[in-house]
Amino acid sequence: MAHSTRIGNIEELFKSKVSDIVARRSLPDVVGFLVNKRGPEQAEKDLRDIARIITERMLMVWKPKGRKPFNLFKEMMNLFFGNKKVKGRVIERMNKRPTKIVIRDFNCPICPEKTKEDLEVPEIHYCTPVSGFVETMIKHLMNQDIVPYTKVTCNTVASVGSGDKYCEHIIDLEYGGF
Amino acid sequence: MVPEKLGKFRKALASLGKRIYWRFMTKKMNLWMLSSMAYGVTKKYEEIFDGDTGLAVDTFTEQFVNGATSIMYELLGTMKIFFSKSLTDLAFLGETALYVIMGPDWEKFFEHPQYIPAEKTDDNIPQLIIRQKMCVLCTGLTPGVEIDHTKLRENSYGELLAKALVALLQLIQDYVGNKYTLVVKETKCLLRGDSYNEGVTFFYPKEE
Repeated sequence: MAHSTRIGNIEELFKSKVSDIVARRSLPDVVGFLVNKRGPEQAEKDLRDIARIITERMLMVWKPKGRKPFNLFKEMMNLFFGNKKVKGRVIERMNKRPTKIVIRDFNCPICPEKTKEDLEVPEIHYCTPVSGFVETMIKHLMNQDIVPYTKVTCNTVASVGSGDKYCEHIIDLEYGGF
Repeated sequence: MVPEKLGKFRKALASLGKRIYWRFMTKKMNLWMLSSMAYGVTKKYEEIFDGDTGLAVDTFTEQFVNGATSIMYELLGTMKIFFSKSLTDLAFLGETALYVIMGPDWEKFFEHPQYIPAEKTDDNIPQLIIRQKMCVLCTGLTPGVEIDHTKLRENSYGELLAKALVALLQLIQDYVGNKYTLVVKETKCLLRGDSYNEGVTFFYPKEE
């Protein structure tokens, strides 16, 4: 029989931490499965979609405090994974407002710690979900009129999991009212 | 040489080691994030398998246990000094493993594992009972809504944690030379309407 209330207390989980080792070790199997079953292009889309589902659940409890894209990114990576080693830079502006931000992650919590030769699926950026996290989070804030953007896209263009030195994500923003 | 039973010194060393590992040697992530990752992957697999929730859960459970098993083999060198032949030590080792993964908060979610010797069970098979007061995976779900438990097959939704723990216990049994095949059965499930989760691990003697 279906109950009408949610099981347990989400806040208790939200306040607790867990070793990232299990998630990190399971992800290569998930990525491998998606690539084999769906092909690399669709697998990337699937990973972004999984990230959307995850972020929507995180936002059931999490109220982002930051308002600038990089601050939001830092807040998100620290909350999700305890990762503070990220750097960001605005590389394009329009009317003094940032429209393109590049973010480099030197401590990616998702990419496998392997050399390129050992990678089972080198044709995909393992940390593509991070782009999905960013898009979902910023869209959530856009829907609440908390941030001034009318469109956000984020793409992962480099990743340690694909043999790069660091992971790189690019956020593109558009504003209304022009 | 594998001891028959863990002494006080080894237990104290394991207690210290698990704290040092949690505090200084492991990267940590948000637990609700981990729960959401499992949910997100399961929902995507469900979509890929045309709504077959059971196949989605079984596929992800297998991948999760594979990941956990690879960690255990890697840590075997460090962990083996805490192994013994005695089944009574497995409750202690189960607690230690939960601390290593979840830190001191493990007690918020799990009760202390309980070992039941063969002579106290109906079928003369030793058991290890692990109960979850709050399920790391089922929390936040509305029964029958996000995950339809009537569509599940071999594994329940939250069973992957129990399966990973049993993989560790099997590894220990094989390492110390005990001839047991471990099988875990979920006997209580929050998603099915019980007030707690319960997984019972049965230690069946291996057939020669």
